[in-house]
Amino acid sequence: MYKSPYLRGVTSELLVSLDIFIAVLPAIIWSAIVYGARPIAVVLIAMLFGALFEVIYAIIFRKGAKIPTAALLGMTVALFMPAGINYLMIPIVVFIAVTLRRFIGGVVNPIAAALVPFFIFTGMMTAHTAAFTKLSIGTVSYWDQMRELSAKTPLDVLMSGNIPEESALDIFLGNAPEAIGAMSAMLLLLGGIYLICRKVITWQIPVGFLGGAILVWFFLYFDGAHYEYFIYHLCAGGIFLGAFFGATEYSSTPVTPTGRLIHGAGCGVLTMLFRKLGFAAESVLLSMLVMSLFSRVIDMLTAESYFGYRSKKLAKRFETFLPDFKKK
Amino acid sequence: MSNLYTFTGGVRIRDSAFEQTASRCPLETMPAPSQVEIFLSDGDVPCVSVGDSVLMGQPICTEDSKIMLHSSVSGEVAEIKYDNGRAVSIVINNDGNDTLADTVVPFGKKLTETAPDEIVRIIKNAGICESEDGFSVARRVECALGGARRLLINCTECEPFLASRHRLLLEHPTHVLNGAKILLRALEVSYADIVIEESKLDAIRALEEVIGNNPLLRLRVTATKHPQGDRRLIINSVTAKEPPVRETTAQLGYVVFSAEVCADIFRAFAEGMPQIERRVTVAGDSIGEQKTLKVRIGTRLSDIEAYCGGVSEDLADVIEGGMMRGKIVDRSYCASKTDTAYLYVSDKYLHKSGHSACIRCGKCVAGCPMHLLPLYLAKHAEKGNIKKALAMGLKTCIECGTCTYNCPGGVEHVYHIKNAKAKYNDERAKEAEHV
Repeated sequence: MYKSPYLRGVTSELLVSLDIFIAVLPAIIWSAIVYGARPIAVVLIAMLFGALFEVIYAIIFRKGAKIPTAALLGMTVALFMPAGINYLMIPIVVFIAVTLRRFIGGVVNPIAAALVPFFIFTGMMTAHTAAFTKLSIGTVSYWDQMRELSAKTPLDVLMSGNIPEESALDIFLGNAPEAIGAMSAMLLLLGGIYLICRKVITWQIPVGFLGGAILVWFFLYFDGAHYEYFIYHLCAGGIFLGAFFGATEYSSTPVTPTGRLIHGAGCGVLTMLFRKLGFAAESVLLSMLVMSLFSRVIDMLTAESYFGYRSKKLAKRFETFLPDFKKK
Repeated sequence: MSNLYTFTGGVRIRDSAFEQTASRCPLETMPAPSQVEIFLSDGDVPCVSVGDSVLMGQPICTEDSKIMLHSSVSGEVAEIKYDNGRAVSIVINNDGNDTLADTVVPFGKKLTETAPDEIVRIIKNAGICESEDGFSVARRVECALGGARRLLINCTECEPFLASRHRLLLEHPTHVLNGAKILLRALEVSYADIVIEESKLDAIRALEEVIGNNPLLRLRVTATKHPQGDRRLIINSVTAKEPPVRETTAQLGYVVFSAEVCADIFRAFAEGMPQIERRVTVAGDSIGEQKTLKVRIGTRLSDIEAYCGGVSEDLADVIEGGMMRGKIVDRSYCASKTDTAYLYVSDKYLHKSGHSACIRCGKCVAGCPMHLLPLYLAKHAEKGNIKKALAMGLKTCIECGTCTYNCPGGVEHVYHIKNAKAKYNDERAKEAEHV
């Protein structure tokens, strides 16, 4: 019953999920200030459906239900949605996310399920409304009203080659239209610092993400004169959200410190490259999806050599990938 | 203090949860019980029979056993318990006189005139073995003779509750340091490193007073991290070298002995007394009084409990050793040569393992002092896949428990790794039989 070691630290999955929730709370509250009560309803519905689908899966497959993790996944997916999203989209997206996490959660970042509204139901579904227009919580879908309410996000303006009319400070603080969680880079940064101090995430992925994005900006987007324009690219489009809360998803990221740096930098580089290719808000999600495919490989490549053994014995580490063949 | 020696990884166990009252109790010599039961290990053949009268310090096993066993009391052999033809334990009734055997005489010659071989012989005859490993000290010195590079004296005690080494260093630092000097003479190293952690400030001061300006003994202060007491991590902290697990550290030239071993070596030379007592900590929240005791080897736990004020009802289990690397023993246990502490703890401290699932947070990787990936190692060990577990470093794991301590998902790394190691050793033994 009691297994060595007989002492444990005060930590549990619930406490970790609670910490992440506390870190995101300022950003969610800010979205309520900007858009009214609707974003909070979106987030709550997503969390509820996340827990619901997790429980259903646990009953079907009789494997343990990780309800806090699933609710958190639902919430993280909802953070990438625009505030005026159709309520009926949320269960679909959360269902795909929970399914991804359960079956291929090791190599696919389940938050990539948030790509579904961007690719399958484009257009009005992903339109953002102007900042500080209150959206009523009762409206299930803003499909008809979108023409009057919609506004261009700073990222859309950047993609078309112009500079957004909101100042860089405004975008950093969160006064520009964006997805629910991605609006205020400042609040996300504060939440991310809180998580790093509480040792929920390590600094490697966020620093890698932002550093990789700035690097690609410098080589591909920099026009030689305006050094401060990288702030527009960083704060618009959810890079902060992806860096602190999206790419740090436990199940699909490497475990080693070097591996996490590579993962973060890869995500940052890919995000800016995808933006060059034309993907706007979904570039962050796409880059997270692509890098998570390599998480196990990066793990094995960056694993340190054991205590006392200089050679890394790479071949032996990769041996652990092989499936167990039945002995004859 | 940024100039502390340390290793990468490890965990700082918050001591505020554990009242360190035991470190404020001076070492008491527990009076010898009326009966002792000395357990024999594999390969020990008793050289006394039932009814013989034995004296304190007299050998009770033949000379070819790995570690010599001596009677810790004077009296009469009451019983020799057998199991499958092998002698398991010897029960001796104490006559209360503590008559010393004839072999218990102080060593006559000066240290500078003594050859290393003679020192090894005296240590072997005294039956001194290491604190937690149980390895024979004489054998380790013998392996390192002629090729020793460093001698390190382990005075660290980083597990909560444990205080016996601390008290030994506070009260008898000269014994420890004289034992270190004897070892220096045997190994012919230029100086010995006394390794102690920074939370034992009073012991550091006591040692500094005794050492003075002696060039033979150098004090090294390390950070207070579990598992600082592990042999390889002591070597790594002070010398920044990493002795691999496949080689014994003695053969590599780095010799580590604990402070109790040094004090016992000094006693073997000064009085001629073999290792018949252990300094243990009796602590926990289910025991009447927390004490640091010198108990005779073979003392039953029931006698120790009676001496320490009895056991309360909320006792969950008795742990021998520290909370992190100890093992649960049952109440009929007797003090052996490798004991360091008996912890009587209730449910408040013991963690009941429940549903466990890895969430891949990476805290185990950050804390592992052996630079392993414990999550993968535990996963393969749990499935019983020894080949993959070996690839992930099954043999390198020292079972310190840092990974399990930090895990939010409640994965039982140490439990699975221990099972996998046992399975691996069984398979190797079977293969050796076939060949």
